[in-house]
Amino acid sequence: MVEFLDTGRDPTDLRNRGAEMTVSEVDAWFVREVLPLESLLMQYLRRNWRDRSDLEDIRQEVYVRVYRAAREEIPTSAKSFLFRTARNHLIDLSRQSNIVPIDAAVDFESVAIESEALSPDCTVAARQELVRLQHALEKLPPRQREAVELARIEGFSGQEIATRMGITRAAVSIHLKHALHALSDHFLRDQTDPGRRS
Amino acid sequence: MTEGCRCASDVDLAAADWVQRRHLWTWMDTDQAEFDAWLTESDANRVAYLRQNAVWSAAGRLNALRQQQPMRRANPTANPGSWRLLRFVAAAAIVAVVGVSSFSYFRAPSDNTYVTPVGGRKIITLADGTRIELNTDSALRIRGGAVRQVALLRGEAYFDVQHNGVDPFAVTANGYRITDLGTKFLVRTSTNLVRVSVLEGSAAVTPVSGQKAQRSALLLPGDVAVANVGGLTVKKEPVASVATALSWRHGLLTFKDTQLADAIAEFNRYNTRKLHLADAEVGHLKINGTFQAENADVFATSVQELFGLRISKNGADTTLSN
Repeated sequence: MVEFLDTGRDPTDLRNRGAEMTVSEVDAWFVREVLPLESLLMQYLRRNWRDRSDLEDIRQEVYVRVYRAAREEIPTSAKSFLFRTARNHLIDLSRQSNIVPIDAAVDFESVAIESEALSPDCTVAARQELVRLQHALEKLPPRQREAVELARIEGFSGQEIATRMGITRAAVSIHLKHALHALSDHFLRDQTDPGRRS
Repeated sequence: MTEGCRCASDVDLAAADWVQRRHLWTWMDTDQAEFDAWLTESDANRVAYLRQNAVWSAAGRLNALRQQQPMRRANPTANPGSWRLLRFVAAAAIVAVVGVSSFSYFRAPSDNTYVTPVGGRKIITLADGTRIELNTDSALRIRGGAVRQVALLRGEAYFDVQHNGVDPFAVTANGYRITDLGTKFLVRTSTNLVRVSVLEGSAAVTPVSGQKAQRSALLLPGDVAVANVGGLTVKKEPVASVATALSWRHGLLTFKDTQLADAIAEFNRYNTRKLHLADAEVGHLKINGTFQAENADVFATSVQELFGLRISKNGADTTLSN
């Protein structure tokens, strides 16, 4: 699946050497083990929760729960822990809201197992990472995409991007902010993921 | 609780904004303070940041495209379909090198040797997307031409290999060849010894000279092979502990029930100012924890407090004693 172990500062970018963030083992684990499962997680959530407008919030809460638990102790299997957490959270939510997600209540266990079986071949998917990045990039609106290309392919600074695109610095920030937000969703949930085929 | 809250996309957008701010703009102490405050405000913020930043880092690999397209299109938005990605695979001789303090692209028509000093690290990205991370005090040679062959001359390197189905990637080190099949693995050499740890995929370890007494091994995730002139042994470890051995990629050293003597030997790999033990007995004490590799002083102080040891400094060196 997706592999990116860089959790800290991007070593390619040293413009802001003062900008530091302490990266813990848990952070690295989360990026390495949990994020690549996002496509499967969203698939699972979509199947088991009717209201689509809740999905992003549910995902976020599941991540937070997983992250907090990992801070106590890093789970041996990220995948089974993630899906167990997701299942428990959906059950909590349905109790609170008094909604019984019928299909979900029946299917919690089996879907998690099925997701396990659908796990894509790491080797194959790793090869596809660049292709997936390219797909994600192509889905962006033209100006956002241009800003990302200038930043990540050409390696320009924010100021240089502003000059080249003939827009203000604030506009560059806004383009990039929305671009990265969309890029993350596209990239982490690429349709070419074999986990999606069902 | 998320019930009744529609905040995930706001948090994600804020995180994306921090990522671009940190990477592209002038960063002042006040920015850092603001960022730290935001980060510690909630776990949701931190997790969202890790997620957006991971994708930002991954997108950096797109720079492999740049070498294939030295001439930028005048209007990059004119024809999205023309974005040719895969052609770069053919250009295996071109490598981009990202050093700790430099950022440059250059061509590699012949063999290239990369060396890191004590305490240094270097990331080498090959044109096929293969990533090599060179640890402290290491040297690696990349063969020129289209052959995917490298030699680890000394030290330690992590390989994240893009498998292409035709041309296997091979690393030679201390008389052994490691051939991968789309793999993440770690190779560490010390005197007459090679240690290969596999995180993902599989890799074959074979003696280069093919002496009869030496056997080969096929390694799977969690397998750690130790090879020397006498032969090859393989043991199985949890993948998580193999992954722990990679914490140096983030500048960290992680110890789990590690003998103090071994931990000190690790620190000494990363620092020119060395740590010493006054008596061997102290060396058997077990320690756990994660430390910054470059900060041996913090480590020494922690150990001092933990075990009630004494610290004495002599020039650049520090000695721990009972």
